[in-house]
Amino acid sequence: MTIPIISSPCTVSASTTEVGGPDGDATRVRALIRRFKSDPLGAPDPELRAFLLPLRNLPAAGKHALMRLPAQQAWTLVQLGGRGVPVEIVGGSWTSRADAEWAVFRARWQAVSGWDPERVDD
Amino acid sequence: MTDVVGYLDRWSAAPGERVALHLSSATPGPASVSLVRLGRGVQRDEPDGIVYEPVLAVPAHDVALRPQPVDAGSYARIDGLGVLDLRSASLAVLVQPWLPPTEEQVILASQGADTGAGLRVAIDGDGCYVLHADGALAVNARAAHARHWSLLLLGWSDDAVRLTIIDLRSARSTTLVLPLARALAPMQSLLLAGQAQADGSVGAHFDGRLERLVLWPQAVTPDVARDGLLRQSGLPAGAVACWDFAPQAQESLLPDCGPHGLHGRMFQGPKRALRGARWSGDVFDWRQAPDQYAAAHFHGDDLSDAGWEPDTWIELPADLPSGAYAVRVCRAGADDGGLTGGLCRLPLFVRPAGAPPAQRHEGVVAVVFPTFTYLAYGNDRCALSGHNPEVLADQAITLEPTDVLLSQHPQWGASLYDTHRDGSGVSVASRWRPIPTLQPDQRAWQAGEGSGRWNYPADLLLVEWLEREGIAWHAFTDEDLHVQGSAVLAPYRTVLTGNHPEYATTELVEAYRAYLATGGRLMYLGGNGFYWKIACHPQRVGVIELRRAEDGNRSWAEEPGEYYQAFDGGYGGMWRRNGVAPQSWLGVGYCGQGFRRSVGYVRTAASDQPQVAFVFDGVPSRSFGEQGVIGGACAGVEVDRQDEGLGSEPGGIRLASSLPFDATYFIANEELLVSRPTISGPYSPGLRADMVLQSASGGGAVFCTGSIAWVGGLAAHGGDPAVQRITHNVLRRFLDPAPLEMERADAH
Repeated sequence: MTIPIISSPCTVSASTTEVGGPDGDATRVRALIRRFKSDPLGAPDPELRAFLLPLRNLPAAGKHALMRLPAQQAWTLVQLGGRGVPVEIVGGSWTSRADAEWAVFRARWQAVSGWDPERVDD
Repeated sequence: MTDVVGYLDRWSAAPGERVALHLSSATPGPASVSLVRLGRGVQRDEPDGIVYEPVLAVPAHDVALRPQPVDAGSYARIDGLGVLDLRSASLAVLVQPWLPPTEEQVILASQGADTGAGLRVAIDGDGCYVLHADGALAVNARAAHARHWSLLLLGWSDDAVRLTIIDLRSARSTTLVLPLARALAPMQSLLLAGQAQADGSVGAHFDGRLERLVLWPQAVTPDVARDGLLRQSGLPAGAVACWDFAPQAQESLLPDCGPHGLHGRMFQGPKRALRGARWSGDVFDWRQAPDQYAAAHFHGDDLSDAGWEPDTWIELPADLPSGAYAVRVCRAGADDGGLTGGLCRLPLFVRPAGAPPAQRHEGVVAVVFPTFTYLAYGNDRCALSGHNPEVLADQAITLEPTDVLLSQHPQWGASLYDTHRDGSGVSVASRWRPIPTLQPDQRAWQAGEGSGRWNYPADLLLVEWLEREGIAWHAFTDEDLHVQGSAVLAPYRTVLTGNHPEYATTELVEAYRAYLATGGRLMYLGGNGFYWKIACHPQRVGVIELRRAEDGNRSWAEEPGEYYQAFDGGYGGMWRRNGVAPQSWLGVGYCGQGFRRSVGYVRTAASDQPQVAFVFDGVPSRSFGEQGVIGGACAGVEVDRQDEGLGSEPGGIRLASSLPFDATYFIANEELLVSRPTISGPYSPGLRADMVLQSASGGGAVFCTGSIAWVGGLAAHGGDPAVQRITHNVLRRFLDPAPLEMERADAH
């Protein structure tokens, strides 16, 4: 099998992350975030997959991920450092894998857009 | 922190052998050492962990843990230069820097007898060649180009040191000069690709290639050096020593072809059999033109042996049953919140005692654990530093605490999936180092939804199932077959592979094929098997080499013209590209992968033939394998299919195939001739797991499931009853001495 690690990452365009604006694209992004939030581990439709892939394809350095906590049967949030840099344990604890998946998305979206997707219904 | 890491001196042992434990803990303190048998008993380290029971015949004992450092980074050392008169001399070498973003990298450092001070040629953090002599520094104004060959000529006399840098592509030449206030101390030794540190380690490693180091006991001109290094072979005229970086029978040797035999030594395994500055482009096999492949690639993160002292030993009883074991090292005083929880479990497979018997072990199955694959993935850092794992996983990456520990220790080396810090691929893996991610309950993102069991921890699901079924079995490893050949398997009517026997040496493949040719029956319960060809080092057991050549799913690609393995001279890369596609002897071969959700199987019409009815005895439904702990079903992760075009036996019976995979699955690139938009699961009918039963040309038989996720169906909780029944049916039938109908047909 393979884990390519040297191909160029997709870019997350500004229009994708500007969800607070009044245009139709912002409305679309809010709808996508709502769909993801409702079932973070569900099988995404093609539109949602296309929205998520650039975020999943971000370079490792600074990227959020999870760490299993075997004793607690839970997950905590971590941030990758990239090559040669230790992983930083951010913290938090989720006993639901779906909740943990949302936590990763939330941290990542805040990092790329400055906007908390938890407020998607505001 | 009470984190514990370590390694054993062997992964496979016979009863009666003594196993050495090499351990380390950042915080000194006592720990308890014990031996446990995996797959049986009632104890678990996690709620859904592998069961184990203590081996009471091996009393637990205490050991005092201590920190043991790892001095990673390859380099070479040449001693004994004091016999030469080098007051005025010249040293030339061919250099190809790869320029990772690091601080100063030392290419060459001399040491004198008295002060230890001497000459040093390096590349600084800006990528410029620099010359250090007696406390003075000269810096080349122009930065070197990554992966361009240069000739460096270092000359010295009583009053000055000169470094001439000749870029071999542009032929541009620059000379740095440092006047000396006093003569240099007599040169005693040379260190290449590193510099001695105050603590006794070697640091400031050079990342790149070196070729052909020549020493003259007098000043020489750049033209003489060019001629000596690029046009002459052996010892150039007037030179007193010449060191050759080409592959040697003795791994660590850096031979000197000069009259004094001042042979050097290489440390931590730089990569050899590589194109040098003299490569013509019309030769591709290093054995045909050693002079053209006389470069060695040094890396600051090479690690072939951590070199830790053994801390304690375990004596295996002479009557210890064969099986899967682990050495448990547990810090006293319980968990302090460290990443290993104060616990380390080191895998150990115990073979049956004695030489293989002449008569059959009737009713006993041999299980060959794919330890070459475990080693290839050892210290996999792709999830730590790559951005694509999450794309393949289609969900957030979940690390283990041991992955986080690994991120804190770059000096423990990487896997064959990783790249070195200079971007070149990691092509050598050694088990002589801590591999904290090789643990019985380790989880990995590749296993998709569910248990996260991948490679070794997934094979332990098979072990648990064998124990629950009460099936007698003996344990072997890839290394056992590589060394002893098919004689190991001959006493067994049936042999099981693990779920992912991806990496295989020529000797290993020949052992399996010889077993089948003499009537053996093989159950290949996995996927992506026998995909990459590798070589074992001829002297250093436990060190493997891979050339990711030509084709296949690759995390990095071998350099052109460097597809022949240094360890044995064999042509590397895919077995398929070596003319031994797994389809040609197993019936199926790898066709694609996905890492999120597995699917079930559905029977084919061919499965209704009476001679294969035994396979589905007690399985009422035509669909099965729809639940499991690896991706939630039993067909998935990495899958194989039947393909007569690649050699699958025409008489092989495809009993079942997987249902279509979703859009996270993609067909393997070696299956494609042209990039096209129909390579994902929903568009690729050829991307499937095939369950196949076929006879072998010597009278044996092979049963394949075509899926890594199959063993997830064998789990006690969350497994698939039909998959367990099918596995049971085939295993029992294979153990029955009566010929299979298809074997009879083959005999005719």
